[in-house]
Amino acid sequence: MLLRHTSKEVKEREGLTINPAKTCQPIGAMYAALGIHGCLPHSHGSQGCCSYHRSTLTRHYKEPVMAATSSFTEGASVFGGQANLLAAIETIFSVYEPDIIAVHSTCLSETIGDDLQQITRKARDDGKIPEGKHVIFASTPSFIGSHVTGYANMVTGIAEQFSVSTGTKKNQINIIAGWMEPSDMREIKLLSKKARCQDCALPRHFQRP
Amino acid sequence: MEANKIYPDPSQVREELIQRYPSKVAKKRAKSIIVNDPEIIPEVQANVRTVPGIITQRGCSYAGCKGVVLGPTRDIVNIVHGPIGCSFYAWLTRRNQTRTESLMDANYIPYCFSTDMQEENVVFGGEKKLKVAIQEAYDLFHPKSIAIFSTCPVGLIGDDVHAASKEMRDKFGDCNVFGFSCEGYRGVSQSAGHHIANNGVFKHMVGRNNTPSVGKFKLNLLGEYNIGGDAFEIERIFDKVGITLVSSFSGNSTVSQIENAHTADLNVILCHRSINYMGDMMETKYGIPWMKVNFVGADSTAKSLRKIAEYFGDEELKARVEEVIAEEMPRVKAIIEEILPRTTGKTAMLFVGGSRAHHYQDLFSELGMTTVAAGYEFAHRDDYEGRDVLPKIKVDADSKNIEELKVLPDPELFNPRKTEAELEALKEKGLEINGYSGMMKQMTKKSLVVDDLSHYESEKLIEIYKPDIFCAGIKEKYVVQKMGIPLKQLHSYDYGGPYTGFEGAVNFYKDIDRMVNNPVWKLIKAPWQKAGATNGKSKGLEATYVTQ
Repeated sequence: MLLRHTSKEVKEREGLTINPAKTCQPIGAMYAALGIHGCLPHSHGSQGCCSYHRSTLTRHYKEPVMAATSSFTEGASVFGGQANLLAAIETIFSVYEPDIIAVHSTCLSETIGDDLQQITRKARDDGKIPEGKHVIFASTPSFIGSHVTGYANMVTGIAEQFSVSTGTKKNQINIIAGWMEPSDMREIKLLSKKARCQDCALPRHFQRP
Repeated sequence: MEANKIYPDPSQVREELIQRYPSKVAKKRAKSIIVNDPEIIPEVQANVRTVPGIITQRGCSYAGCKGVVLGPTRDIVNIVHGPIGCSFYAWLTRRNQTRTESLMDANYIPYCFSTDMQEENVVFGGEKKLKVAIQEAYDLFHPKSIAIFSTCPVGLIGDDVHAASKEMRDKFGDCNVFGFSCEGYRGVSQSAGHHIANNGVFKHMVGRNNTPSVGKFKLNLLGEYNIGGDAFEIERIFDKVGITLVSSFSGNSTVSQIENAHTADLNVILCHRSINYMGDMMETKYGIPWMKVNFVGADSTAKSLRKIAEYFGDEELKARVEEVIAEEMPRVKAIIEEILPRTTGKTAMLFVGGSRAHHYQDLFSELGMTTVAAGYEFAHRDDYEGRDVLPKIKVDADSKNIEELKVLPDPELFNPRKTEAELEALKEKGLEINGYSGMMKQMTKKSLVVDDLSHYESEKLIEIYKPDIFCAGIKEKYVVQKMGIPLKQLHSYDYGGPYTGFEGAVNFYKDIDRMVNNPVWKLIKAPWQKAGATNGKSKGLEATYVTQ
């Protein structure tokens, strides 16, 4: 009797969404970023987004999910979140020492128009990113697509911002799947290994099989 | 032979916690990390902005409003106006239970309602879609009430949820539609959302039904959200004692109860942080005093029941309370006596919520355990230091953004339940009437009090103190457990509970016994126990063991 108020006949609705089978982009971006070793996801928006995403992923995977947030206040929403993100980058690198910070936007920072590319460039120019460390970003507005889109956007961000053309062919297959459970990805990797393929799975949420 | 731990000097621990931060951050955090002294109660910096990037436990205003206060209401259709995520994440995640009288009564808690805002709604405004959504909800469910919750983009683009709600309320006539401006960026934590929720419920619900409630001893239960069935246990005890529960804010509540709440003669407050505004406003408007109680812990429950009986000043009620306590306690005592030898001398840390970090210390002391460090996630200074500091709290820009309702005595319904002199006399007897003495008074000297604990600080504290149990939430759970320390979730009770009242105390004793005495934790190598894991850092501060 859990959903006893649900009517038997199907009624078309235009405004109201009930019991959705999807959620918003940023959680996908956070999940994707967790699949890179030494990478700390960072949510550029209100604290609640980060807190909700971490809780949801932790409940699902029963594993620690670490991520930081820009902790927007009303002031930041009016004047822009640049100061918050720059402060966050400095704090994160001095306290947690990740190799990479993967910043994703939220509906709040997207609506006010924060430019993550410009802010991360400024962080580098201001010397807030230590030598050999990286800050990458992905635009993941919650009002477009779903968590699957967010995952794809972060993976695209990783590929775009890390790939360097060397001119030489690597003879390798890149396995860049959409949102996938760690166990599924692991199985694909195993199959690839059995087929004696040289591959690179991105991102990878499991330890080497 | 009982093993005892000797801890390093707490002020040294404090230095250790902040030394890694950039200097500005360190300066700020130092004010929130306090070595307790219950005699003088030092000042704690609380309810201030979180340092960006520090990895906080905190959530947002929307979480406080929709998730905490309005979430447990079963017959209100709670529609979240915004992108899909906000509603999705607050869907059945807080374990607030409810019990309808019949199977066919309204219960919308298992549902998730959202306007699923799309880009075009953000660009051209979402009010139209919101009104369609309200209409559709009304047509499908015909609920008594529909509540609308604003999310971040709604506040930015300027959708007027209040106007839309009013329009639809007037249109329906038989459905109370009202909105909350609880955008996630408001305030500095969930706390802002609690205040916004209190305002909205007070403005739109309380006082709508003047039918006198029946009963000799009538009260409202404020700040009890029925996690894991907590409210059911309190209801059971009230029933047994003969106390009438007019309404609950908001665990196992109904719209009609809340609308009738002003006919009670006392408000008892459990979670001071999330609902004290309601207590104050109802006192001003209707003359109902509020009293701080605590039903977490068997002794605390007995104490609270006696306080309630003292308030009503009825000899028969007092005798009945004693009878019930005498009836319930033997079972509790039998169990605690069996468990006590295994838990005595163990240590706990609590970093959770806005009142739980205080209340659960009662249960741990009943278990013979010491709380070595505690702190809240989103509380204010009064929750730490007691309400006496209220006049001294500086109102900052973030708090100013939250509306303070101007409440006046109701010309018809204002009826002081007790005279000033009577209230003073009750206070003399130790009843916390319109007052709360805070957490620090109860904590031992030299224990640590940390507001808005960061992940780094929690790791450090565990490394230094190696507590026997750490209490926090789901985000912290597996991180802490991988360090070989069991973590008890005090938000969701790890799928257990209830923990209130007499039955709850027994549940808690058993759960904690199972956790702190489980040999599995000794099998896990914590990062600092692994060879070469000191990362070149000096061993520094650490608890040492002595055997007596």
